[in-house]
Amino acid sequence: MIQNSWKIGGLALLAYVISMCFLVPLGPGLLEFQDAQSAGVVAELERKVSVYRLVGLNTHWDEQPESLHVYLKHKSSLVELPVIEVNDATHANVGLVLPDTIPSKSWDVFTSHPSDGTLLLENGLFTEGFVIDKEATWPSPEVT
Amino acid sequence: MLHVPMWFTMFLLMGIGFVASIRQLSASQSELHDLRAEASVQVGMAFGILGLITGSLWARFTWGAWWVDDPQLNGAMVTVLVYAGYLILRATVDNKRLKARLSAVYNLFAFVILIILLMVLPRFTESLHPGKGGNPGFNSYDLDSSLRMVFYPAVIGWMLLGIWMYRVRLAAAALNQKLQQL
Repeated sequence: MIQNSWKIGGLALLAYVISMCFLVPLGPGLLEFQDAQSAGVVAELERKVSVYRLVGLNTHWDEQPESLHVYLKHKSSLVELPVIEVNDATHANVGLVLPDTIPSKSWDVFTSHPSDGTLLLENGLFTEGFVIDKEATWPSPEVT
Repeated sequence: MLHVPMWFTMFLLMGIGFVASIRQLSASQSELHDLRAEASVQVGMAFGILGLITGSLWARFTWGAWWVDDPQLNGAMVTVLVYAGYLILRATVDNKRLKARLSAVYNLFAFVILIILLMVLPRFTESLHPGKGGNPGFNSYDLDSSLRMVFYPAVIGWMLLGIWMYRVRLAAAALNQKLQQL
């Protein structure tokens, strides 16, 4: 029995892991950051501004919608995106103007809200069709 | 709770196989080390294939594709194929001593390839995979505490299960060898 205790321990750990996966309620999180057109949202803004739809899970953006802040981050580059509209607790539209040259294809999306805290969607924005220059700064230093 | 612990378990088992192959080559005439290397690679392969399947499922829902041309993904596939080559090599040689020495040498190279393809190369290339190519893994942003409570037990649990499977496979192989000698 004692010799086999590590086997029982291993099975017990896996049983714990499986049960925890089903029992622990999911906290607030970010699900998607997608182009508004692919999300089915009609954008009527200036041509250069792309509208992105941010989708959350168990978030509360309809409470104090003016306090929702959305950021893109890549290494030391951090840019805050203007929140155009909070549709409901889990959906919001944000505006995004990308320059021709950016330092990375993939950007992490952060949100900040009094009820949900800071949320992260790793590689939430993956861009294509842009010139990638690792030395490029976006936003430009004078803006930051 | 499945994908990463399965790869960790594969690394552990292939590491056991690597050590067994070194001991096999270091003047040891015991067949036990050869059996250990074979059993660890067999079970490690099972975990590697499961790691590929679970990773592909994750990619489908995260990136929208079952497979993307990424150095980490391609490296994982090549690694599993290299170890499949180890098992094929063993099946093609009849002489036991020659099989043991040949496969031990092959296993040493296979483990080095595993380290290079899965742990070194993806860190120096552009990669979408978390933790590689500058993308955050577990370090840049803290793993949420509620996830840590499940992730670390999952790693230990899968490793213990992997070792258990390895020992069962080794016992079966040793028994089979004794039966053949009768």
